[in-house]
Amino acid sequence: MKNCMKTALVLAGLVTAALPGFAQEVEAGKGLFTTCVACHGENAEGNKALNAPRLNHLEPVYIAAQLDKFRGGIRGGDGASASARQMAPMAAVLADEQAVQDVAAYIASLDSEPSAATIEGDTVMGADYYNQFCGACHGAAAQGNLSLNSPRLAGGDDWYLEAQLLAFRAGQRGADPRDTTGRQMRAMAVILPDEQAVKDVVAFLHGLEQ
Amino acid sequence: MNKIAVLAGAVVLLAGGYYLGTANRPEPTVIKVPSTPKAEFVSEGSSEVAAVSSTVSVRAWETPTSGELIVVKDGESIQEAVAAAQPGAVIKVMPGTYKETVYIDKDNITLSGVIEEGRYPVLEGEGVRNDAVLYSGNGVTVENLYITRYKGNAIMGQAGNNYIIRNNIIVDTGVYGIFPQLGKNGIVAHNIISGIEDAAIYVGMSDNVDVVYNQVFDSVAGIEIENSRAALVEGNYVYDNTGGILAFITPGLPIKTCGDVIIRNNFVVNNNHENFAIPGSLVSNIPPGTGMLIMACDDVVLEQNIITGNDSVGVLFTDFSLVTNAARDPDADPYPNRPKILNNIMQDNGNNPAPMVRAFLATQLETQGPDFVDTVGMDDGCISHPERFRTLGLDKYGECEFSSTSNVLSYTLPEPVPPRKDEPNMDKGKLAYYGVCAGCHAYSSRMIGPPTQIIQALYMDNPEGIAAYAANPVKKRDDYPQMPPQAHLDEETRLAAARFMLDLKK
Amino acid sequence: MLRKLILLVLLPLGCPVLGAEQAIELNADCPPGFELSAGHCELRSLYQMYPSLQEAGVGGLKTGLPAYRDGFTPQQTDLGRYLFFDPVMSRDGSISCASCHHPDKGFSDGRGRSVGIHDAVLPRSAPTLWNVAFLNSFFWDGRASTLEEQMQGPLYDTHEMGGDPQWLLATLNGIEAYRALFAQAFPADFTNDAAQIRLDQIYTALAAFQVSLVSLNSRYDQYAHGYANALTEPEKEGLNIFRSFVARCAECHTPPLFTNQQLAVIGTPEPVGMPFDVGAEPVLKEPSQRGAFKVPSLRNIELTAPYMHSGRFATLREAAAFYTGGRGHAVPEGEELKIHWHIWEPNLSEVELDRLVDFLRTLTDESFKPETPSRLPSGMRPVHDDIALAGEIQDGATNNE
Repeated sequence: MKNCMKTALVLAGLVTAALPGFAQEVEAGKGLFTTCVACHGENAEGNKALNAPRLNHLEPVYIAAQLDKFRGGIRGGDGASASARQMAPMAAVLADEQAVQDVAAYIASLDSEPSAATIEGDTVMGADYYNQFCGACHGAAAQGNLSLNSPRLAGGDDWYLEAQLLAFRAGQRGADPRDTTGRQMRAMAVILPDEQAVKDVVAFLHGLEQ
Repeated sequence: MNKIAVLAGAVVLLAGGYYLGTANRPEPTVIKVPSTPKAEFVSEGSSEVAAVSSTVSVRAWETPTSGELIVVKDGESIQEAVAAAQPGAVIKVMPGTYKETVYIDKDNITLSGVIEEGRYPVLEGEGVRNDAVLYSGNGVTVENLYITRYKGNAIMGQAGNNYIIRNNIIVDTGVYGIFPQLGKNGIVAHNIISGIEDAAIYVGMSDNVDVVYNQVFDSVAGIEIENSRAALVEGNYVYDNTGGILAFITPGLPIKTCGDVIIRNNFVVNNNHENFAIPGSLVSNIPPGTGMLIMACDDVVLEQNIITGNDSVGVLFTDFSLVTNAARDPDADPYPNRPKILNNIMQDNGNNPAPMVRAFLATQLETQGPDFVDTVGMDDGCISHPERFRTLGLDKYGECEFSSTSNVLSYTLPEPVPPRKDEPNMDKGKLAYYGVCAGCHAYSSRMIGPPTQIIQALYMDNPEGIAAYAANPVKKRDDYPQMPPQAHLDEETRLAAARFMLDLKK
Repeated sequence: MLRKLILLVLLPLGCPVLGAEQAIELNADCPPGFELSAGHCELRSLYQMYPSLQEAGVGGLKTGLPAYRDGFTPQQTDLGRYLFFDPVMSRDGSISCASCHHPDKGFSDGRGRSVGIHDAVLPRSAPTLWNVAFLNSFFWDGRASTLEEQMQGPLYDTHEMGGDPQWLLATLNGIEAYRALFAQAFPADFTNDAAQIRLDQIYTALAAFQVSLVSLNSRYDQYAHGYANALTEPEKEGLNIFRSFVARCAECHTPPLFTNQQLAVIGTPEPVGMPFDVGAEPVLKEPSQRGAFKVPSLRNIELTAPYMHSGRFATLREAAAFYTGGRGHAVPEGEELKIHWHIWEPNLSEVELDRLVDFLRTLTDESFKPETPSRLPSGMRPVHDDIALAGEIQDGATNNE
């Protein structure tokens, strides 16, 4: 309990500190987000049928970073997965950096229940893998770590997390030389011994928050 | 023709004295004229020096310098200059009085006094400070200092290769004047040392050392070569000490051999000082009036020394029976193997032997101390012109196979000993990674810090980032302790370790 | 959600949670300080960059190491760790190696004289195991020349662990988990089900673990490698007193190991009421070595009070002050000892003694301290934290057995 509270406080502090004009941005982002609703849903809760993941559990800075990558062709370009390539033109709709910041702030202000489990895996093994390889950057509770550019994973869709780990492993994501953080993640994703291990980690992550 | 006649006459004269002194040796003196040249002198030290030198080079190397110059003036601190100095610096000390202990734990530092019209920089111990100069770095030069009234040593080296200690004047500095220990390749030259309660110059557990052209007097021991190999003691003026020149094994030390010592062209005169050594020390056993003492040290060559006026004995070869106050060392060979005595000039030795020598002589029905004594009676020694000298215990010595060590110009190496580099696995980055970093970072499993694999992913082509972070870490992870700063590793080492870390495969 | 989070927070702190029935798998990684090279763990240290005169491993700050033991496999090392902490190695299961060589007490036991099974008080103190890889003789009197020889002392001494070879073999072979672990550590010897644990394998594993206890990363070492700020000014003063030819500590406690590995007669007193310990005299059959003991390393010395072979001095300060008390001042009447020539009257001041202690504390480094196993192959629980009941011996009866 205590640990959880502490984590939440720390995160809240970080977010507030990082974004001083938070409230204005949220308001401005609301309009921009209408483009996204069709796939990601009104509360950014995600829609597996459309390969659109939940976004509202993520930190604004991470959302913005990924939008920038999509806009800059660093993510979702040649060699990327079909769904990533779908996302690239959508991100390009955002006019400028301010728009990116605004929509990211708005998304982060939304809330929804995490999606139901869709992946089966050995959560004990998954915990072990996670602790050895992932937790050092994404945090013991998968809460993310801004100082290491590591997004929150707890609360993410298990199917999406699996798809991204597989994309990293396959070189569909994190292959662009400009994508520093993506390359870092790719190097870590390939350390997992096999696809079952991917499922184990994802199952473990999904078990963290219902 | 004339020369030979004169020589023969001299031998007959000396032989007369010889007969008086050793009446128990009836053989007549044999006059021989060498017909074939003798073999060249060869020793381990001479071979080592010859192997790395194609040109004649005698003590020609100096401490490497970088151009950095630091001047210390009267009233300032020499140690502060040492602290600020980078390897290669020359620290010039102006005349004045410096009351401090100077310690040099860096490589290639030249500590050099400036002498103006006979005025030296004086290191003054006031009878309360321990040592004047301590060094442990490689390539240290200490020169042109006047050092007095310290309690321990004037100049002490604890390891450190390629040292030069020269042109210093040392007066009453306690236990030793100059004491390099556990180093290879060193020069101790042109120092004047007096009033030392153990050895004025003490070379301990060292290899390849030249002790040359020093003046040492009024001390318990003049020059002491102890548990060392390839030492050249040449051209020193050694007088008014209890014992003049010593070469020996001290039992109980971790390096247990002494040998290949050339003692030549020294003046060893009137070493009759009362023994004022510290009770319990090994040199407290030295009888006053001892010109030279060779204890358990092997392959000692005595050549062309002038050894006169030493009241107990000219030269004493012995085993550990001399030191009755130390524990025996089963791992040290007690015998002075293969002593070699060439053409020394001996006069007026043994005229007033110390009581312990007198007692020993009495057992041999003698009263005057001899020029050469071998208390063990070695059977592998050699001596040139034995008929010239009053000897005891040299009956089994034969003719030397060489007549001179003049082919050995120096026992120092012509170039400084390089840092160790002949070993496999000498990569600094690898040693730092396994020797330091691995305490917290395993390759693929979590220890105190995150696994190396994660660091590889985060920093893939940025070793500079690791090196910089390691010097100045910040807390990044809630559930890991903050990394302690590794600034103790220099930048080059940190970067090498970072590169090694990024390249590691398992 | 919160309940799960708490579980999660607890998880990463220890080893992966294993069921009690789950078999132990030996660590395939070398301990810190070692590189896995062709299946064997080889020591790596910055000191390997430095030369050493005659390869003796004695000298100054930048001097190489003496000859050392390494080359064991990771599995042998880890097996040794289990054996080391397992009280099944003692006849009555009351003590383990770690009882007298406790990882939190500098791999010694905090006692003047160690305590064996049945609360027997032993004649001498337990030496630290830090850096035993570099030693060439063992026990205070130097009577063993290998770790393998040394460990048979405590293992089979009736007052220490009380075992014997047959009993030890029968005990370990009777534990299925140990047979499985020995098979992992010595695969070439366990090619069929009938293979039995052998004594030499036990000794090898324990030696492998002991040589992994390397301590060469103290603040002193940082200074030695060239980082001047690693030591404070008082500590540097202490270093200079330590190596000065007045105090002469470094003449025997020589860097980098802070021992020259020789025997020395220094004439320290025994605890009150205990008879004089003759030291190495009977070992060497050499009367002049009466009262001689091995020069101990001073690394991690602040962790291993009390000091000297029978723990007469409770603090480092007292131990240091002994050396300025005068040559032979504590030698019992009637004993004629060949006191070492470096024992003299340096007249160290109170301040100098304080600085010496300051310096000695910079020799502490436990960065490679191994983990205590959370469970043992025998199923027994670790006992090295149990507090033995025996106090200090009253009459010294078991001294100099």
